[in-house]
Amino acid sequence: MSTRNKATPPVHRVVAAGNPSERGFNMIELAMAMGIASVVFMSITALYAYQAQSLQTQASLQSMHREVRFAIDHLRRDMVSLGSNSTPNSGIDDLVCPKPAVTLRSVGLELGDGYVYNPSLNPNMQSVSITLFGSLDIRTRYRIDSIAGSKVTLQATGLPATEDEWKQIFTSDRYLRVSTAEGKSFYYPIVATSFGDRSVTLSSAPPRISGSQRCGYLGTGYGMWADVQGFIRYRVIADKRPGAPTDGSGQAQRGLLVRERLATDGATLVSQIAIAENTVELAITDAAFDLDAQSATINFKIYPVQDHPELLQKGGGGLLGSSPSARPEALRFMSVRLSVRAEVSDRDLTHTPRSQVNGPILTYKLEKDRPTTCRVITMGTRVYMPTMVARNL
Amino acid sequence: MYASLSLCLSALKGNTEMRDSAIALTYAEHLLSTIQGESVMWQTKTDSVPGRFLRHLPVPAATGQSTGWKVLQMNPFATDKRVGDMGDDSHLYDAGMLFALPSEQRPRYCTQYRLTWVTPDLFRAEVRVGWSRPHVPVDKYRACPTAMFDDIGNVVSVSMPAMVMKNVYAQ
Repeated sequence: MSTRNKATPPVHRVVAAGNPSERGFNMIELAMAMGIASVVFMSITALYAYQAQSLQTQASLQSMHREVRFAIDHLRRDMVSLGSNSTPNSGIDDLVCPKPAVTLRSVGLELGDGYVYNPSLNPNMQSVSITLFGSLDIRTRYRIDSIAGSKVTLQATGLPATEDEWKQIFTSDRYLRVSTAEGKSFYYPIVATSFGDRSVTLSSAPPRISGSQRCGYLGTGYGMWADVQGFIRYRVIADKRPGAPTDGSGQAQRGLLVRERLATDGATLVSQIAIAENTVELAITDAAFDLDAQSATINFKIYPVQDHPELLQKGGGGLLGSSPSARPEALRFMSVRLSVRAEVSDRDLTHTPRSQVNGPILTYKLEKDRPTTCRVITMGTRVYMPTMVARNL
Repeated sequence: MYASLSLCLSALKGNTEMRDSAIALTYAEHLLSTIQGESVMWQTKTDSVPGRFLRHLPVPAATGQSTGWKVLQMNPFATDKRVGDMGDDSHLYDAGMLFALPSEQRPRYCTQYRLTWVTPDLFRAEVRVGWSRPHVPVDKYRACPTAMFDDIGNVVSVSMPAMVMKNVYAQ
């Protein structure tokens, strides 16, 4: 019995001294294995978290780019046609006769007309508003049947088929431009329209050419062309739409780039549509003018906005403003810049306030004591105005 | 796990490429507008074709004759010819734009243009903007050689054409 006991070793000795593949782990080995596994697991988790954050940032950048591209495309399309079938500046355009009561300028900018949320945290922001005039929405021309007093009756051919369509075109916030066979034209605000008898009533009766009266229409006006023109304004406003974010005091946190239709006075708002959300700044950067209309050759001068205060002034002054000293007819091209911020702030981002007007905008901060810094992207484009060149005023 | 990470990486690369493409397209459009804008000075009464781009047009004008692809280079002494989101023309056309969008922020685009006569009053302008894919060594295409646009495995590019007409309106 005792011999058999001596011959049989303790169980743990057999395992320890047996085949290595049949060995267990001691505590140290187990702890090390768990430690390594934890490090690997944490690395993978961190990697996933980083990937998820990167994807979110990318999606946000993508969204901002989409907003900017869309807005810039909108602006380009409106601006590239400036002066097309319209006047660059009715004040100096000999083809506009008689002159309208309001001076019609194809483009007029106003400095400092833009919404900035929390300007103390986001200094040196300075948007412009861009007001355009021309056949920007409706480009169709119609033949006139007759003009009697202030009532212009149009020929049936080519007119809108339905009353709804008619009402969208001939509205009282637009001008009716009447063009003569000699290329002259006159502009009168529309005050009333009738789909039934195809007529448009103007604010006053255009003159008839006779004797010393060299402006106006000939005979009954039959066969002359008519089209509608109006004012459009781009500017950054506070986003006060239902559901738009506000702070504790009810102030809108988001800037919204809008395209507004203005009344015939060029100032009263008629309607607006949103173009780009989270807009930080709309600005122009460079403009080229051909100011010497008497010169035989064209030599335009390029004005970078930061070096030329004569280009834009607060209150609508400057070469691109809306005062009598403005020279929109001499504008040949202009660069526009738009900055938008991310919808959601980035915790890891440090806010860099803009150091000077017209300088780079890197970030935008919403609230002072909280990590609410948002990324900003800026894009720009040059808009060349071929029709302004063609008019060469 | 590997597949999942690869998927994430591919999505990131795809997004980055799309963003770069959007910027490159905007820049190409901007450059074409510059060439068109410059053509305002090209009149019947001027002896030569003026301007930064137009002066490269071959003389005399013969249909089909072209400048060939030219690297857009504002600083002739720079060995790195890549530019930022809106180029590097800070001396003439884009001084205002580059004040807000400095070229040195993300210089990675190579830009080339080609002008081809169609008629004596009309030419075709083409702009192409290219940039290296993420796996390509950073300095491989710093000189922006013409051949890089054929290396589609390593380079992404966008191109845009436009017709440019002489300013026949100015008399």
